[in-house]
Amino acid sequence: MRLKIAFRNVLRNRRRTLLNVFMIAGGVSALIVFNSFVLSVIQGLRDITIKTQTGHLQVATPTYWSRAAKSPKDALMDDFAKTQKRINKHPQVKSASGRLTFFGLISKGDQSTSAQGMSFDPQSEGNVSKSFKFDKGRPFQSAKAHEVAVGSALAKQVGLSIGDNVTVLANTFDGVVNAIDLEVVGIFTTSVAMIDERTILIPLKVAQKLLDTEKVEQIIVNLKDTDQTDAVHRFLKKELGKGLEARTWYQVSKMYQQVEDFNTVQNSVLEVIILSLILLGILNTIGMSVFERTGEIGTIAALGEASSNIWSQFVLEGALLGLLGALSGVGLGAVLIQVINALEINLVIPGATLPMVITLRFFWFAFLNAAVLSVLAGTLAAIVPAYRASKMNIANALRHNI
Amino acid sequence: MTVTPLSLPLLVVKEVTKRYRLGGVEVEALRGVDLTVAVGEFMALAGTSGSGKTTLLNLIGAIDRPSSGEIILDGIPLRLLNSNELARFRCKKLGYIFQTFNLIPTLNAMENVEYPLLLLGMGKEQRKRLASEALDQVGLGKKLKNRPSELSGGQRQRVAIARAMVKKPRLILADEPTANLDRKTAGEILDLMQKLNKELQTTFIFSTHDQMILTRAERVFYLADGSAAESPLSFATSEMKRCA
Repeated sequence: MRLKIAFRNVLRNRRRTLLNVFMIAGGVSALIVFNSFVLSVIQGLRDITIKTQTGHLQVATPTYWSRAAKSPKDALMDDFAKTQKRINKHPQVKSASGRLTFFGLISKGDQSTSAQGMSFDPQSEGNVSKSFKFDKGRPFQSAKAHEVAVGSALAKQVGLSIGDNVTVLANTFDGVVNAIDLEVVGIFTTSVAMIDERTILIPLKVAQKLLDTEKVEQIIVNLKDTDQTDAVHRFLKKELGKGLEARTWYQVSKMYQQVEDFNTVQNSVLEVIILSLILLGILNTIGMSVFERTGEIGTIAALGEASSNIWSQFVLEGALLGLLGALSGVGLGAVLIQVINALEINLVIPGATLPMVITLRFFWFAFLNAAVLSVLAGTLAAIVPAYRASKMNIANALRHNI
Repeated sequence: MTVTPLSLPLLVVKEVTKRYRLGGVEVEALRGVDLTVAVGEFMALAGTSGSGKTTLLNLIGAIDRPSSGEIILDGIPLRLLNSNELARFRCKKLGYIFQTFNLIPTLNAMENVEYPLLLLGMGKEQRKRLASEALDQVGLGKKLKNRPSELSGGQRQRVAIARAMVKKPRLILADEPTANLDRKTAGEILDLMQKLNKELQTTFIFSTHDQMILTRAERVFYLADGSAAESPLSFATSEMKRCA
């Protein structure tokens, strides 16, 4: 019956309640849309990071991770094919491929520029174009082909086109300068400016030849499901023992962590602002309600209602108001997400080269978070006026007409 | 002046004073009032507006505390109870009827009458049965679902009476219960209160400055400027006339 009374009291002044519910719904839906936007951007960034840079997990020697090797050669992995087999035992593993990275020069005629080289293993990682979007050309034909794929901004800088022959220079692990002639077979974009401006891809075997080694620095592990990263990480820790160490993509990618941290802070600031507005709105409504119902409060107190019950009655009304606003806000938020997606808004996110169509995904967390915060704000906002109501002098309160 | 009750005293008011501050000035609303009320009495507190009737009813009804003196109700000195215990006491022992009816506007007649039973922690079924019976008794058996705004003044006061009596309290306090009603309806309400007083042996104390009510009271306690005097009916009415 108390819930029924609270519900009727909330609906007593319908116009005021409706205005309040609209206000809360606006705040809740803004929280949902913003949160969904941030989560979508972070998830998009996560996918790009995994596909183009880190894979889901990276396996390397402890020396490699500690960067404490006297010579880079000491950090290389011996007999990585065996390790590959051990990693592939886990059913969630899609691919495990050796990786070598290097800094070098790419030259075409008298045009040269520095580049970050990354090896790619077409045999174990499949088609390179799945990870990198090829604007022109094609992926590598074989694991040993003397071919190179170049980032679009880098290609523009050096003036490269498909079919051009280039020379790539790099220091071997023994410190000797080595060069190799390659044919440009692909020009790719990744949406990440840093990669498009600096990266060249070459087949792993060719990279090993350039760097004069049969070893690799890391094994990049790609999984069938990103959510299984931690589970596979635990498996690898056990499976690989102390000689090798696996790290997850989020441990490795500092940029992802920085973007996520920044967005989390930004989101929290917005949450505080919107919740303050909701709080003040409900505070005002419940405060007015207490004032208008002074006579009624006196009456129920005279009938024997305990002051704690009077307090909880108003707090319940605040929570109900928050709940009504939250439910409307959840509905409005869902509609807004659909509308935004239908508008296909193009946006260049920080660090990206190409505008991305912003597609907001439905994150149940964003909805639940906004709804719970709204109910909490309603409850908190009602505490002070509810306390005032519960401490009213009954005789004075009874002088007010109902 | 103290009156010797005809039977066991339900209420004893001893030298009660009540002072409060009004705009920086101390006002003495009651000055050493003594009163004893027996079980089953149907008595009136008479006096002009501002004489202290409502203040005395509030003190007897445990919704305010005296500045000095003692009130013992049903054998319990009220000064010994803290505010939670007073709330429980009001809930169990007292019923109230107000001049402005004071029904809860969002509840229908049945729910308004159920409310005191809810405070007693009674189950839903029992609450509904007792509330329905109480409304039947006051002649509103067909208005159970009506909200206060859908009832006339007389009907609202009947609901208020049903609400006061549904838990069968030891004492019902009525503050000017007929002041907002026409003469005919006021008479009907008084008939009803008197009927309940006789049938259920519920003690009634009501405040009024209405001549008609005074003639119906078994006993009249007269208040003027915070001082009290017990008087026979004829004395009270002559005093009222003199003051008017």
